[in-house]
Amino acid sequence: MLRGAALLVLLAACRPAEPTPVVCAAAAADAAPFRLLTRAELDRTLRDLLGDETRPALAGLPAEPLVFGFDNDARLRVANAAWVSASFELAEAAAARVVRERPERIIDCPSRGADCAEKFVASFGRRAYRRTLTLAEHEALTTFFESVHLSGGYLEALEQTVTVMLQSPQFLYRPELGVRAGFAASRPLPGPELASKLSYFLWGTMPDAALISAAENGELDDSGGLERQARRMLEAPQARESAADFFAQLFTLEGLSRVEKSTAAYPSWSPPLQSSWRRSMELYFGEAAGRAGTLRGLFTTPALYVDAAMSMYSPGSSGDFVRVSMNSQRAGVLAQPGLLARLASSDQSSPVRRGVFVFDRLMCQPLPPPPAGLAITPPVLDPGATTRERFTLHGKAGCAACHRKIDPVGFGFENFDGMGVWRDTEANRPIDASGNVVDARDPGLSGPFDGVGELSAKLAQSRQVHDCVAAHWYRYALGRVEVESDACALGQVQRRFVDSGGSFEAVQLAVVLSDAFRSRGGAP
Amino acid sequence: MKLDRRCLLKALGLGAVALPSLEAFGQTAAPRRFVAFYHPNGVHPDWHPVAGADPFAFSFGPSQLALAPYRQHLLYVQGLELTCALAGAGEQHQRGLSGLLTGSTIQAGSFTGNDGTTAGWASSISVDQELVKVVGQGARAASLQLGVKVGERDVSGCLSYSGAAGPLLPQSDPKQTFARLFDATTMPVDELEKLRRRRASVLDGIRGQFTRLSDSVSVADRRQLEAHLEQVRDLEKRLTALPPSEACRTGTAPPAVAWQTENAMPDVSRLQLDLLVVALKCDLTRVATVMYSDAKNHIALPFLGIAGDVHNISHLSDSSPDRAELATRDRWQAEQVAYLLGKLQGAAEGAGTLLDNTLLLWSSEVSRGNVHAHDEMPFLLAGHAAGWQMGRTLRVTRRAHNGLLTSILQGLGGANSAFGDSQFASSPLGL
Repeated sequence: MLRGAALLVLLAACRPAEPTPVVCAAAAADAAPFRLLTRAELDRTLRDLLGDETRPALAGLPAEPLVFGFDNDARLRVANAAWVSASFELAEAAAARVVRERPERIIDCPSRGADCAEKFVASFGRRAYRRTLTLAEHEALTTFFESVHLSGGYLEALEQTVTVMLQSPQFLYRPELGVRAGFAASRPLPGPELASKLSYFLWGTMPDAALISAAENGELDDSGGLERQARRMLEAPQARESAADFFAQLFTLEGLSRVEKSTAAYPSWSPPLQSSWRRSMELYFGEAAGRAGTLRGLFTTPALYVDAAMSMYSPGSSGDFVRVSMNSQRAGVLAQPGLLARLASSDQSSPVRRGVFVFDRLMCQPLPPPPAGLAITPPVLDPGATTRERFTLHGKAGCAACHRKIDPVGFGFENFDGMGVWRDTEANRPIDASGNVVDARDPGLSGPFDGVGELSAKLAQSRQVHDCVAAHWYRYALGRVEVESDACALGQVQRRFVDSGGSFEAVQLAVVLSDAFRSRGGAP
Repeated sequence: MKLDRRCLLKALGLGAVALPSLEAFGQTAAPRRFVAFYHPNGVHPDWHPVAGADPFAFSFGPSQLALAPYRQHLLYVQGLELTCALAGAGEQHQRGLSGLLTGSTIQAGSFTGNDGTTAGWASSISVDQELVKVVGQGARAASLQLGVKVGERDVSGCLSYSGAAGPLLPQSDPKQTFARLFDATTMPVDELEKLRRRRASVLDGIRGQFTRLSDSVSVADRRQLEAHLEQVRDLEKRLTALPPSEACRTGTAPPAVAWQTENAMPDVSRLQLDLLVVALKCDLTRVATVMYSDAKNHIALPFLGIAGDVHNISHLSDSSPDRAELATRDRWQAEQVAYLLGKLQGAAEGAGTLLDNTLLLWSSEVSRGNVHAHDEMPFLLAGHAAGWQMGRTLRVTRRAHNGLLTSILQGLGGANSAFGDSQFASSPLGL
């Protein structure tokens, strides 16, 4: 590890293009000092803290609002009445389970007496609060344990103390308060706060013992130490789980559970496909976006994971998921059945949704709204006409301003029907999947293409798409949408991503090492 | 899947046993309740009542005949406009839904709308949450946000707001509704007492930890913690304020339904409304909203024979033959309202019924989906909690719907003289 860091220093010294690293002023308005754990984070934390595999939060707590598909926007997460009441009951149940089923997981104290209080509060508390407890916290919890022990006995004291800790803000939130440094506008995060931020970003769960120790020893206070820990964590399996979660949110897999098709239009549709589509895409992300994953791999890997429910995509598939190597017809994330089915209507494909998704999600170039008062009427089904023919009406006045951009991208997907099944003809005519990217911010991205394969290749090498995906990582890591004052830090992350050849590991490291990640902005 | 009604009621613990009644409430003491109903993408013209010789002589719109038995309990208010939704960030569905109960203009933000534009949450508290302050104190759940297949987890799927930063997203799983209302109330009394003592102890410990953290953060940062702690205190009050009647403690969990699927919508609607009625009746809550789908509403309704995307159908021109499917959808929505009104009317309370002490509001986020209009909004009021003369239509000359929201607040005892964004006229309608 040291060798790696030393090498980096050498490399930095011989990199003429960047004589002095630009220090970005901290982003201003990130006044969300307390980040509430999401349901997914809570479930993984309960797993790692208590050995509780029941994932109670996902089923029992209110769903998070989604911003750009992401569930962790700090400023939108508020503990309202429904959340507080459900999380209280969750904590009660989780505490009861661990004390009943595996107390050894949280305490090693053979005397089972009141004298266990101090030891338990200190050791379990450090894991639950992700740092050493303050003296005041320690005293309050110890006194609590002892008093319950007096009236209700050892197990009762244990259970109630765990419930209290699981409902305390120190556990439910990840405080990002920072340390005031003179008159500087930005406040660097102290080690333990940074450790939690790092762990929930790269692993989606609480820090492990090594990270907490490193943080409390001050190892995260300099770039070298922080990078060492980040690299160690990126090698662990939890990092792949967390990256898969990022891509699942980026590609809005959450919505797959709600995709239903008209069985009149698509007799092969049935509800189990919802979970198969999702699992199939998760497996795809595991391969294309894993540790050595790159943006190019994401857009071009010719693989498909199919189970018995997905035989319409790969004839003969049966049983559990298997990987099928595909040809160029179905290469890359944009050719994955789940995504294609999600970006379609219940009874037909949707060039509009597919085109909007590419502009919005992958190019970060949202389109202006349609004119006020416009009657928006998608064409009705007509067995005698192709989708492209029916949607060509968009070329008319009023619609054209946007649809001259949306539709030519969406038409490129026409080889895939509303289920994401490949088709060569529609309405007895051969599919025309020729498309065009019109007026992209990146001039290199503009221009004609034929089919999803060529579109994917264009996107994979575009600077605009690299910048867009890097921005999504940045948002996901910081738990907020970027503001103007992020331009400098975000710009650096985006450059690193491009320079690395679109490596997902590199972009995560770049975010971690950015000032925006390591400090709290200059809020008053 | 069709669920047997009798079986459902039995599962809910409402079969042979009559609904528990709150004898404790005399006629004057009965709490007042508010329920808001929402369905997406406006209405077919057949929704609107046709005026007669006088306000009482209206005829029901052809899609609304299910409501005919409740005629004397209804008040249609016609001519209102969602003025607050005419401008602002995002698209017309986002603006309409965020403004429907708040009467204010949407915030800028990052939620992608139906057409790719972006908007944020509503910018102020919604009328149902304002009513929690007026009528909702003391109930086990301050309010309920129920959904029937609400998919969007952003401004397109949110009707209730505790404030500008306080979206209250609905939940569509009847099991969760049940858990919210009845979890511990199903225990025997002595165990319940033990649980209450233990919870008081635990909550005490939690408050202690809040204090320890609060002491070490700046005044500005403390705000979020204090808001959370306030909810914990509130929880304590609610956990210790249990319903008086034995019968209100004996719910049985609703059967599992595939609540995320389109075909389960009728069952989910019944289960949610049945639970709502018990909750209102047992005074477990006094304020609720019910959302059917969301403002994006890209779903089909196969149980009604509607195979196409309903949002797209709402865009069809009035002359299109397929537009009739929207009236079919409106008919089903009216049946859901009628079902709830029937249950409220069937529940005795004091010398009257639960419907006497409830005010229901039903609307959508646009009036005509095919032009995304916000004038001539469909507004139906039902029930007698506000003491208004019902059984009629009221036509106003095009004005902001904020006045209606103010009227609702005043009708249920609020001291508000205006509601929503002050740039929109919001003096009460004089109902």
